[in-house]
Amino acid sequence: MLREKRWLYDAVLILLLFSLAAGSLLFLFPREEGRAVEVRIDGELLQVYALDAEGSYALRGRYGSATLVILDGRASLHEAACPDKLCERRGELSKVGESAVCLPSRIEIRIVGEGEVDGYA
Amino acid sequence: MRNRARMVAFLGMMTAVSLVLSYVEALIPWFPSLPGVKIGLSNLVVLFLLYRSGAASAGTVSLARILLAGILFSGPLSILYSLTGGSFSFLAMLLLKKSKRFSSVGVSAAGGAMHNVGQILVARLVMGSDAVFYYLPHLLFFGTLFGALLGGATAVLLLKYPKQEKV
Repeated sequence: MLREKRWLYDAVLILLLFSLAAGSLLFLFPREEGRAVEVRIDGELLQVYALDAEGSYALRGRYGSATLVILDGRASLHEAACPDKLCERRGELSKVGESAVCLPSRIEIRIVGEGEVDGYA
Repeated sequence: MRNRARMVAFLGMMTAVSLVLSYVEALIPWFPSLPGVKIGLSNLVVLFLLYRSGAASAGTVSLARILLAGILFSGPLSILYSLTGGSFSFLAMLLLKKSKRFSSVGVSAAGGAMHNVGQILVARLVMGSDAVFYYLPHLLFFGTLFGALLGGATAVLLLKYPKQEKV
């Protein structure tokens, strides 16, 4: 009954259809290059830096501190006053929505895109 | 078929079955998060007919069911969606079946996927916004999945009702 060959074609076809579904997912949600990075300390939006404003910026909160480094259109955290340094290990952020958080210091940086920036530093 | 009256009666019966299936599946509270995801139970009939009675019969029943279901249950807009989805689906299934390389599972899977593609295109026209395409991955996935499952069910049916003079 199960003519082997046909089922192979079926499987290939179905896999193809599924990958089309998955593919369209990637295609539809592209990651957009960010324009600026928001700095939040203790949940509060403190400052927004444009991603072309290269430099090092000291971020100091009640619970700890870190340095925001903007270089080549990418933002990253350094010299964080925390034991695990997870925020530093997060690496460089450049796409809209990406964020890095230093939980002990309660410091967060997040990339935002066009139209979301209401101030430049 | 042996005579016309018998053909008419038979296809009428098939349309009724298809219609009832369509109604029953509308009763299932399915994925309230996403509209348009349906199992496509009524397609079982169309697929079965495609294999046993030929494209003309299957197409007729499909068309009749779409129109009737639209008039009875939904509305003109929904008829547009169903017609587009249904014709895309039917065409795909017909072509795949003709190629003789796929079983009813593959044929139905493609039919299910194409049905949803057709519907998305209509949605794009009606809504005038590209936002509808965000549903594509979801619809494609479930269209294929349910299509394949239906194809399996149809395969069982086809075994139970082997090709003979009946149709």
